[in-house]
Amino acid sequence: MCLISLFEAPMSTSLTIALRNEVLTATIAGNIDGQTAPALQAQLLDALSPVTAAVFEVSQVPYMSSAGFRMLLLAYRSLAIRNGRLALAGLSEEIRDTMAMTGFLDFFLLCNSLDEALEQVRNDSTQHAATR
Amino acid sequence: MTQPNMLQRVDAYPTRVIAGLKVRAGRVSPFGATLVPGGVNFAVFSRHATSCVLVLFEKGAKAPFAELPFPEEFRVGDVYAMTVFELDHENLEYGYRMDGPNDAQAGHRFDPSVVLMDPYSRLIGGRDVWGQQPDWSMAYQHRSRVLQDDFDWEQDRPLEIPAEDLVVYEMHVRSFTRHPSSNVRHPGTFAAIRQKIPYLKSLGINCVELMPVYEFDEFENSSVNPVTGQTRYNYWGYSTVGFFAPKAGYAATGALGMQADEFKALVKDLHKNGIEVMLDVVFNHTAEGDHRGPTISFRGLDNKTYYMLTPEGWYYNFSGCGNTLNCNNPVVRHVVLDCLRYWVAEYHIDGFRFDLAAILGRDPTGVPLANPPLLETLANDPILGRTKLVAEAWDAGGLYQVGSFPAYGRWAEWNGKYRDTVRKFLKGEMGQVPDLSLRLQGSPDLYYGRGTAASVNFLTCHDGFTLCDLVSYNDKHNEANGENNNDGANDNNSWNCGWEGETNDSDIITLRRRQMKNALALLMVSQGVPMILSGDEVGRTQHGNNNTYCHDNELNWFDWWQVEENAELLRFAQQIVAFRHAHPALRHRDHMRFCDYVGSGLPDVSWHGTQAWRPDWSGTSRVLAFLLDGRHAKGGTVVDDDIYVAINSYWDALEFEIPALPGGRQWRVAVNTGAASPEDAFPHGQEPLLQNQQRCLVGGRSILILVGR
Repeated sequence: MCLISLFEAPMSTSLTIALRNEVLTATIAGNIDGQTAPALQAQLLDALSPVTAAVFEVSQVPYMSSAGFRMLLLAYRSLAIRNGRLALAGLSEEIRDTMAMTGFLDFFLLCNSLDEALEQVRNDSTQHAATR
Repeated sequence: MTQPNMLQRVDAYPTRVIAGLKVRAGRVSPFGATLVPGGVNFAVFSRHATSCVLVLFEKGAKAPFAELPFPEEFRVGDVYAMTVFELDHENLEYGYRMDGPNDAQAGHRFDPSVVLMDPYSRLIGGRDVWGQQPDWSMAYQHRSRVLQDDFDWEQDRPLEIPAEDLVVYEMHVRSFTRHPSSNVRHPGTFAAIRQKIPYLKSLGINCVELMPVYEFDEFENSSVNPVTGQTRYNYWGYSTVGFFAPKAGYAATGALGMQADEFKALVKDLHKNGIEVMLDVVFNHTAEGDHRGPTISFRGLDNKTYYMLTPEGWYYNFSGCGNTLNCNNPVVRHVVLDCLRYWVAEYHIDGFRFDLAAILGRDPTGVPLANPPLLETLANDPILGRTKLVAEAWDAGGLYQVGSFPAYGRWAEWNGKYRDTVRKFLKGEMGQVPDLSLRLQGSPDLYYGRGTAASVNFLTCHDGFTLCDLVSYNDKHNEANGENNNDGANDNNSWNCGWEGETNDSDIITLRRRQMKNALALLMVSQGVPMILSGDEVGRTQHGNNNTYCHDNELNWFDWWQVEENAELLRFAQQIVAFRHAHPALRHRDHMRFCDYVGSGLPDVSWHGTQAWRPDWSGTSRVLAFLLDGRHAKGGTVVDDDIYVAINSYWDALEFEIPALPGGRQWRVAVNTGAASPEDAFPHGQEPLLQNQQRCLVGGRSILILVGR
């Protein structure tokens, strides 16, 4: 495991990125909205470019606006074009509900914990993302 | 040759600072607020304004944080355009102040003290949650917002189901799931409709027609019902605030500003389930009313361009709602075109039903045009090339164009004559048989040469009685509307079956149920496009109110308990819709030719009475039967069963002589509204053989449908 970067966005949103067995793990904490999403997006897209599997750990994200969902979907798209996979771990019930209603949820593998998510993106190499 | 790192554009950089914000001269097209590299591009039209100011607010704020006058060099022609950089567009609201002459007689009503909503707003704030009292101290009520319109549609696009194969279901977004019985997570919303898709599929409809979903103000002309204390709203929403924005109050995520995504997710999901989406659009007037109404947008931007005005500068009122949008002004025509293109391209909408569409054919002084440019433009537009266009072919100014609406080979119409004739026949009125035969064949008297799908057949719609009330009330009962029962139509052609309103009389209840089945059966065996009003399949009642435009209560809400209470009627509706889908003979594209053009030994359609081959067209007849030859289905392009329909609107049973079939085919019973459920309708492939192939008794006020195979 190697720590690539630690990033401090405005409004005290934080991003921790790690690479474990070629799976990128991004742990995000704090709100993801129009203020914080652009910087997060730049960091994440950079970090995603060499990998084909990623897990975003978002259990410490209490609120996500439309900009947040778009950031996630763009991350998904950047992986999907390379037949990659993206799992979300620890998504709150409320955010999950909003994402379902607005059509964002279907794109992601959803997992309760980071370990489960890591397992999923490793095993799920043929289905889901690659078919879209 | 590829290049992964594209060169940045020069215009991604500002050229100057206004009101502390970095800006540059904008792009004049498209109108509205558009995300561009580094910022937001604002473009707005006014022909008669002398100056324009862009006003920026933080979301929900009473006072603006910046006002940016457009420098003269930022105006090209009549368009003011500016790109503003580094805006947090998610938390932004904007509007315009326009200065210019304030001379009502000359048609100008400029007032720079008012902040105006952008008519091209793709997102509108101010009514984010349905029914939530607005802050009336806020001067700027309907607030333009910036939409990030990058929804991920994957492989979706409009379905392009052939129009004659549609079964349309007219519904109100909020009414469909607002009732406590709906058992959905967010009642009354776009998201909730998605939870009910399995129900829509089980009914068999393949197109939902949504009553207005453009942003409107439910508080427009709202009042309190003194009897119940409930608020009477602008509930149906036939009064547009913004033509490019979905109603925030219809979205569970409206408070988060995500109504566009929520509505798109609904459209995508409906499409995935084979259901098209048609929008009821209101281009005949706006929510600004007459000279006493609020100034929201158009009036202050360019009154003389957007509205039809009398020579004295007053508002023409062909809509019955205070003003009339000046649709055949070339600028306004473009607004309508831009709007429809936007909904098709951006929301994947399959079709539109135009409210009071006859207005769209009037010139700027109100005179009906022989060749209305707007209607011609829409009919020939490349982006709308496969979009269904349906006109409500009349207006409140007395222009009635059913059968004569300028169609350009594209337009279909709500067939008001179908409704009137079939209602009269159903209640047993004499003298209807010849006219009924025309309605059953897709009204060739009105639409010959335009195809059967030019006729949208309906017996009920949001205006008027529900199907249940059509067989339960002779007269309207609109007291709850607060207008002394003076509003709503008086020519309902309804019959209460012997008692006005609710009853415990089992004979009357049985008769009413049979009449509802008769109505649904006639609708589904008619050539053309059938349309069902939401709830009619489960006997929804408005207790005799035939104009429930203002009620946010059980008068409008779909009561999901009725799905079980009226399971028999629902089952019949499902079966008769399935019957239509199973039989292409009911879905001809072109009108009948009354001859045998495929060599089957039978004409495409033949007419009968109680005696085969001898229809009774006389003025006292209440009986008609017809035979559709299966070899002529869809113009002879496919082979179907033969279909024989015997319709008896006389009160006693009558014996019908059934025409004989060639080629050893035999008659089977598909539907008999005179029989008790479940023998009233048999699933496709399980129709029992008719015992006597020559004669059959058809009950009083009943319909028998046979299939020959």
